[in-house]
Amino acid sequence: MKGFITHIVDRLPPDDLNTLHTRAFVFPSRRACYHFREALLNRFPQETFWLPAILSVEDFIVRCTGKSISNELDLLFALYQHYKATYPPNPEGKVDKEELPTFDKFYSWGQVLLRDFDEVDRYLVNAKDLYRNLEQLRDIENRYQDSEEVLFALKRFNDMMGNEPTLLSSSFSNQWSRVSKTYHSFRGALGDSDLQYGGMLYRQLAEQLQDGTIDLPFERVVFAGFNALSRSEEVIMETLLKKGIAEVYWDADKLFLENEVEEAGRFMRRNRKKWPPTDQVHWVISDMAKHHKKIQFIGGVQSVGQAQVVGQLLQQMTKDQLDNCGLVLADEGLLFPLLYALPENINSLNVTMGYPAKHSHWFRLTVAFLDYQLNKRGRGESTYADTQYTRELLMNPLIKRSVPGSGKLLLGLRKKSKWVGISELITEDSGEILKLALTSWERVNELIAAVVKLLLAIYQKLRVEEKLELLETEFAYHALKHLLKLGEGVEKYHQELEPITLSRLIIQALEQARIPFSGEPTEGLQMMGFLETRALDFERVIMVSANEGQLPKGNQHNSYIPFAIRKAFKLPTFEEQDAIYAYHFKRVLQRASDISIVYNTEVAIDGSGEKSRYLWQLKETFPKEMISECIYQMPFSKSEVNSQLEIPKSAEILEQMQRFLVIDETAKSLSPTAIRHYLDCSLRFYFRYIVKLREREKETTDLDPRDFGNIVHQAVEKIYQPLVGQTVTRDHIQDLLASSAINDAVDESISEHLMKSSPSLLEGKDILHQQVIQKLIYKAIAKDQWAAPFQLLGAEITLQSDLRINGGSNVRLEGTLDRVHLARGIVHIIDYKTGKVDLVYLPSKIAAEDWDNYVLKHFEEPKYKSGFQGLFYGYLWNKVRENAPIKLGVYPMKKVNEGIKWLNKQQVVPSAGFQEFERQLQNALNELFDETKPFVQTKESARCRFCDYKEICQR
Amino acid sequence: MNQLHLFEDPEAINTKNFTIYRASAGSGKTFTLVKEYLKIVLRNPSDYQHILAITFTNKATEEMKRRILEHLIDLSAGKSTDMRHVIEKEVRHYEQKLNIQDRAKKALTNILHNYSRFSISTIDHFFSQLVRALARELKLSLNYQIDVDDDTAMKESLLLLYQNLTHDEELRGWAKDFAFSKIDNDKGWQLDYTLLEFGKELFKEKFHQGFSKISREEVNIKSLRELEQDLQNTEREFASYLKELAGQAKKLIAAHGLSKENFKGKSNGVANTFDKILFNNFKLTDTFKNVAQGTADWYTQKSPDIARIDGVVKAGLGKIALEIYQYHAAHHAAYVTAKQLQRHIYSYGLLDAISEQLKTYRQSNNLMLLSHNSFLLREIISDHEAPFLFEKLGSYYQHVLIDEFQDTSVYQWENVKPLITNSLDHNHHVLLVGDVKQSIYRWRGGDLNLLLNQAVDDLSLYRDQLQVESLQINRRSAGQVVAFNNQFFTLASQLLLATKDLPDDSTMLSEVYREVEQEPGSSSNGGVCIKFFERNEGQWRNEALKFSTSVIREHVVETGNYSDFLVLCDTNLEVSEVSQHLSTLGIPVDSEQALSLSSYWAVRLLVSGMYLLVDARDSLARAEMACLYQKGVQAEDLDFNELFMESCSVGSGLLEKYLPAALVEQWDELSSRNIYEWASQVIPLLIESKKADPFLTRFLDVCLEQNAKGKTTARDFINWWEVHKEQQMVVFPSHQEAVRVMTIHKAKGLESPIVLIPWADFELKPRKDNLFWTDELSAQFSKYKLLPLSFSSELMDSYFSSAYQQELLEGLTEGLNTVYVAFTRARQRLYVNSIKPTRSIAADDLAHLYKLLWEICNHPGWESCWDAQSSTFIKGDLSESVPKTKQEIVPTIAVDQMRMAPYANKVTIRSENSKMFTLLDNYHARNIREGLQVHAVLERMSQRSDLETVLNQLTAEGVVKKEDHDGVRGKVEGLFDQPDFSAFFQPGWKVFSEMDIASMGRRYTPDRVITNQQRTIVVDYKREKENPEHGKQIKGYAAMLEKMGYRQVEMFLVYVGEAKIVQV
Ligand code: SF4
Repeated sequence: MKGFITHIVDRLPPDDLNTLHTRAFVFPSRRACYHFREALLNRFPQETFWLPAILSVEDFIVRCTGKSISNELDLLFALYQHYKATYPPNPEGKVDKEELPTFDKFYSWGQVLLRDFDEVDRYLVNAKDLYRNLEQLRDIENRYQDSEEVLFALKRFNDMMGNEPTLLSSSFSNQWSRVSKTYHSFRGALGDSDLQYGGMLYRQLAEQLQDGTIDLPFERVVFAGFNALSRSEEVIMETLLKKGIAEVYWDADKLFLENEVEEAGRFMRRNRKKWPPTDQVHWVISDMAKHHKKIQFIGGVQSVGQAQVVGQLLQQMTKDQLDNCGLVLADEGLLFPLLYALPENINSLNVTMGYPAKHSHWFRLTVAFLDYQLNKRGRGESTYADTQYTRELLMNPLIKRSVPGSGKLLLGLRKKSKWVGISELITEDSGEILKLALTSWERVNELIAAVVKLLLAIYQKLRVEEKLELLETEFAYHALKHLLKLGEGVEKYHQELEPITLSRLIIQALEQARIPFSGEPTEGLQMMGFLETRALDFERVIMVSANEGQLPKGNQHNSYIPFAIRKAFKLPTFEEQDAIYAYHFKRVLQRASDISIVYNTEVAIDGSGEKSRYLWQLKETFPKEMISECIYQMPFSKSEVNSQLEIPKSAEILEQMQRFLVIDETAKSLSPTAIRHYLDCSLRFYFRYIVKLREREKETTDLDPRDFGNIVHQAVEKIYQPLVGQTVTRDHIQDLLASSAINDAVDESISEHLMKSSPSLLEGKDILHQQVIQKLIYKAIAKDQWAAPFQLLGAEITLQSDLRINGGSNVRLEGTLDRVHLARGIVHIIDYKTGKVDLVYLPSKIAAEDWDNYVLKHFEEPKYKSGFQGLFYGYLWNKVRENAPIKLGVYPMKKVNEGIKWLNKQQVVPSAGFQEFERQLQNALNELFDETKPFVQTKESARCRFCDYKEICQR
Repeated sequence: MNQLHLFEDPEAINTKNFTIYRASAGSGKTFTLVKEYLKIVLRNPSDYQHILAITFTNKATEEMKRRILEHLIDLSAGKSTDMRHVIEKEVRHYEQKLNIQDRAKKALTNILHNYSRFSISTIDHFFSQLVRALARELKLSLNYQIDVDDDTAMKESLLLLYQNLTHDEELRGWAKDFAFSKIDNDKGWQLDYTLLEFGKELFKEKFHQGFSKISREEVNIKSLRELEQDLQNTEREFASYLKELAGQAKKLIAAHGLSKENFKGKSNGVANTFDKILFNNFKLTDTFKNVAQGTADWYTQKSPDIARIDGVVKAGLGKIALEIYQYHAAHHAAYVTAKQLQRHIYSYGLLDAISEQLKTYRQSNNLMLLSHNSFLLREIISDHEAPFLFEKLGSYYQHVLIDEFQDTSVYQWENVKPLITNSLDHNHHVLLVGDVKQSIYRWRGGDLNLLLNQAVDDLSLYRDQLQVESLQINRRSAGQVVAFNNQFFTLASQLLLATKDLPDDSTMLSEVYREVEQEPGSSSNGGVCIKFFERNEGQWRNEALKFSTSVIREHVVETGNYSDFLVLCDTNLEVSEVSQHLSTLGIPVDSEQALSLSSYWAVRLLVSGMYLLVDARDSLARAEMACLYQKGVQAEDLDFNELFMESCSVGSGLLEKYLPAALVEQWDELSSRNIYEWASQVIPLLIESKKADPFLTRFLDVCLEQNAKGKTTARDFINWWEVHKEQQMVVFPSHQEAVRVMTIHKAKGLESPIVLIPWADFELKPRKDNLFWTDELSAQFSKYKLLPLSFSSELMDSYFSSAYQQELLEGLTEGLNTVYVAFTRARQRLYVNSIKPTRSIAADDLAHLYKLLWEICNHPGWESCWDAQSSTFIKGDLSESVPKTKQEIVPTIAVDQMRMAPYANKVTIRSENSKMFTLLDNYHARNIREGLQVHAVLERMSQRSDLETVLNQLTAEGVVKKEDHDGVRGKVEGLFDQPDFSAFFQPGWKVFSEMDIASMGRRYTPDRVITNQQRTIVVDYKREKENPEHGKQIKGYAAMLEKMGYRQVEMFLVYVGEAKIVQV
């Protein structure tokens, strides 16, 4: 079927070629211009002639007025000055900071105002009538009431504003008068500057054409493919038509032109009435309902699922079909999923879209850099950066790639310290990029210059090394362009910005930035956003994200002009927006014969995900046979993999394990923790002690539980160490409690642990931890009064012992006993625990044979974990030191008031208990060294919950 | 407007326009709602734009919209449907004038073509819209993102709070005392978890109600500190005085050579009271109270020690006991109150600070939390605000329909009330639909009182317009199931009234269940089976599950239908246990657990890869990757030991030997892709089979979502993933056969032919220590407006006894409601497993589902259903075949493979990056830049005097930098100073500047062509150095010009760099 553009081109008589260059052809979009030019060239392949001006409407306006449209940011900066002026300073000359938003907060609000202003001008609204006080606005009821609907709306509006003011309405009218003032002063000021927003130019051209005060640079103007015209566009077109120097081509379909209910035809019907066909006005009218179409509604799951559907559809298409295919994205977020889902038969593809800058590392890097810069403390030489943000910055892939040494630097970032001196980070040979990234900047303009330099430096480096893909280059270019603009604006208007304001501003500006991907070839698959389809026709159309909220885009009409007022002044409302979208949608279908509409079957949290209204509409409009529906699903088959893992004790492993055997002095010893791990899961033992696969280091700057435990142990040792060998009396303890010894010991331990010079440098939660540890230890030691007097035999004593296993080798065992003392002839071995204590008591009176069972339990069940350690220590003491009556205690710091828990209540552990323990230990070790027994996964998957290796085991 | 009230029916106006529907389970609530909606639009087909319908979930919204449209389609096609009959019946009185078919058609067209005004949404969504419309009035930024992640918000806020500890001494002091009080009470010392949990109260309405009223002057850390002191003193005083008395008593007894063994009750008897007091147990037994008051003896009559005891009593014990009794009676409540209040006082004191940090978090991330909307609105929406809201929304709502009204919260109600009164003022329709028995969202503010009474009370002005209707017929469940539920819930609501500690006035429970009886509307019989198992130390769970499994198995053998089953559990943990169990037996399961992404090996593989990206030295990640990959390709005979050993010995990067070569080769290069692209490129390298994989697809979606938030790095992703992975699920394909397993809360609104409740043993009371707030405060505490308490029966002895009782009542009602929701999901059969009680059950202790079930199954009248032997209750017929449910089937097509290939070589884009040079700042770049700029300037100029204007224009467009003006100006002026050059701009000639020539189907663009009929000059500006190609090119232009008929074409090349002009 002949497309709209072909229609226009075909009507050009070859005789006109000589004068073509005096004409302008005006289309709604640049992309349409491109297709028109191609069509023109194809129509006259043998001729040589001047091409006419082929312009988008915006370019046309710019060309005619000789002015250009300013960058939004410049406008916003200027607008802010005027808005600010509506907050008069108080007598001291200060503006109420609470009320007046800072520029970053103003940013989005300013965009709304700017859009409103733009529309007011574009629609030739009498701004004096509109932007004034609400009370004055009330007489519009009499002035603007060309339809009942409007009258109704205005009545309501006036009633509302006439009522007792409510919190909301008075806040509104207050704001409204500010906006009105802003408009007038802003607009007045712009007149004298180079700054202008689009609407101003439209209004200017319309007015000058009406007055006859302008000469166009063209002899004839052809408008083609328009739908909803703003008032100024209407005037421009009208005047030129009257002068006899314009021609208009309308593109419409009977479906919406003749059917009053079709919102898609809302504007076209009006246009038709206003401009019926003449020799200047051409109506290209199709009748899609008359032609057979194949329309398919296809459900797909979420973004990637939909993209996969499209991939499958594309694969089934021939080259010819692909060349005439438009792939239309209602949601730009699907670009990447679609690009990756393209099947092999696609080898040329043309993308015309805006893509959010947020998807790129360049954006992320900018954010990381700003975070780093804004979270520092100190000044000059002694400026410290927050470790976390430093890490974030250095780990950005762009830095990682462009700075080979960044990994080393990262390694050097001390894990536990919250602050890192910037002077330590930067060294002589840091290289340009690192220096740019890490140098501390204070002033706003330095900051922005620095970020630009940094991005540029990385860009250049990677570019030279050819490590950048095309798309990334685009991202980089646009990010930089934005930043530079921002820099200029800041310089011009806003040197007093706070760094934090600047940072938010940068982030907002980049967040909204779209990277225009604009391809040029007209061959191959055409991928585009909805607005790009204007005036184009495709045989085969595939649309994706046909869901409410995307198609049409939800009610995004963010305006501060109330609905009724918009109606009265004939400004577009969301109803018009919907109509425009409907037109785009129906227009794409107009001449297509094969249409696939893909929607997301899943409802999102925000409620979006309902199928698009247009699907219902099509079902109502087209005969049943033309429409088919289906859902594409992936079969719910998990490709399961075997998660079993077993490591036989190969010769190699056995050799590894030799190091636990006492062969010479180098023998490594097994700790109770290691054995415990083995008992819980032999595979875990294998990973931990044979492979030595270490757990992942956590990136915390706070004390983590393990640090906490270590500090407590260390502090207790420091406190008691001087008393080892002595008899500790109650007085001793009271002296301790009264002195600063406890606090000092804690502070010292913390310092040593954090490699900090002084605990006064502690921050945030760690201050709390410090106090908590002091209190805990104080309480624990105070409890020791009840045990006193006792003879302190040792604090943190490490004992070793060898145990013979099958085959005659000895295994070396080792344990560190937190505290041992002697009281009333009994050796007390005490273990301080800051973590969870698992201890299962024994009934106080227990028969000897029950001991065996009890000990055995310690080998079998993890919940006997704390007791196991106790028994182990007792066993060591018993064996290495002396065969004395021993009591085993655990001091659970989480329940410090309850004091020490004794394994066998207050009783000593009989030596039979230790014998049994040794027997069991021997069994376990025999098994460990038994080459026929592989390391296996535990059967109890509960034990895997906190295991570091559960990803490997797929537990 | 024009057809407004065209068919107005006088009767219709007089009918009541304010309707409350009480709709029990299965009574066709949605049907009714849709019907009412249709009636409005059939009366006036343009009224759809004035109806606001509020539903509870997104799914319900979608369903309601769909049903309305489908009915309208059927009606306008003239189909004879149930809906049509019902409507015709109800609007009989004006049927003469009513042409349903036409009007349906009109309404349908109206809606479809002005769909944005088809306002059916969830209340959350509606409020979001309102907040957005009012953003400026609320002083919000206008481009905020809506977020639902309250957990992350709280975590981040706490981090901010901790940071503040450094500088804020008061805060630090309080936090320290908090930690110390934990230590003193042996509750550890960590605040994180407590605060995280407690902080969630900030998202709750109940709390907000009080919080917003508190004066910060009166309530702050300082005043709380005083309160804490007071409470401690009260507690200490009470304890120490009683202990002193108890000590005296013990001494006295000992002094008389007695011990507690001698007294009544022996070691657990009256004299034990003194020991208990010394061990901080201050509860007095009734016996002791009687003895102390002298109304009972200290001994049993047979005691040999009567005389000695009498002696000691006289010697002072009696007096002491009396003093204990009296002191206790006077002060015990204050003591318990003090103790209970202290439980949360520290957390409470931090809430304000956390709330501040939450604000900071929201602002710095430009977020709005969905949970926050109704609070914000509550603060600004007052009664007469409806017109303003309409204006802001651009929609004028006349009729308001609210579904699931029992789950509406007070704030939500207050926020929509202005719309409702506005409607009623204008005699429009208001419809509230709900079922108090299905109110199970108390934890998030749902308040069944609204439906029960309050809504009507609030709108008492409009009582004349009100009618309350009940839907009595249950169309969902089979006859026997309905009969069982009728009986069960009638009995249950009565029996539970006897529960201990309920308030005297517990009408709520009976009111809620007043209308529980339904008439069955279905023709089939169906059946209910309740089986009791011996508890057997928890073994019963296995037995019960086995039984449920056998039910499924048998049914499937017969019918092959897994999807007839819905298995309901109380908690998420149970859901995962059950679904794991079923899965291992090879039964297909549709549950959150079965669909979880994070347990899928290929997802794990990718995540491990990301870890390695973050830290190339991470040997664990290296091992995980290699191992999972090898498992994935099913490598046999692999020496895993070697694999693990090597992953440790390799210093950094991939374990190359065990991964595909292509991946190894591209690894470094890929590392700079954003996380979505990285995953898209890595997947095909790692997973060779191109099989369509819903898990990986979903995982990619997750990556994409993060990317779109600007979290593009592996580190960003992992940080997010580790917190949120549990909730990441694939979408279960709709046509797949499987047993659905879910919690009762999630099942609300669903139904299924067969419902299994494998473990019906939960408590109906609120859980012990559940936090709740009370505003019933005595004068002493009144300034706090609202205080937090933990649910515990001890509260009966405190000043908060009535708050406790009320909480118990509300909790119990909700508990029974949960059972109601569960039992009424079944269409055909209901299977419930529970525990056989071991002891006889006290009548005031039925608030445990198994006890309640047992009691009711053994109730008189149901003997025929009860089989004592097997402890099984069977009512109805469990073998009747299950009718097939007809489902509208959209054909499904299988996605045949995963397509995932790099696109770089396919896509052509017009790259603007050559302009990059305009941004650079080295010598080379400056040169190029200047060339570009001069070129651009010349392009625009038509005469020399244009220079300044053009420069300014181009600066505004961002093409020429301000600081480059001088340089560019110099270059351009320099050119114009050469007579040759200015000749290109001589007046009177016709100029073609930057215009295109079409020739042989191609386009050419000479920079400047001027002509005066006789002579024609063509000029091309060059930034580059001289080059013979330039001559060729310009000669080409000349040839074209000649072809177009131009004579005497002269050719010039202008080298802007050196300002050199060359004639060709
Ligand atoms: S995950 Fe489980 S099976 Fe694997 S090593 Fe850890 S504890 Fe053993």
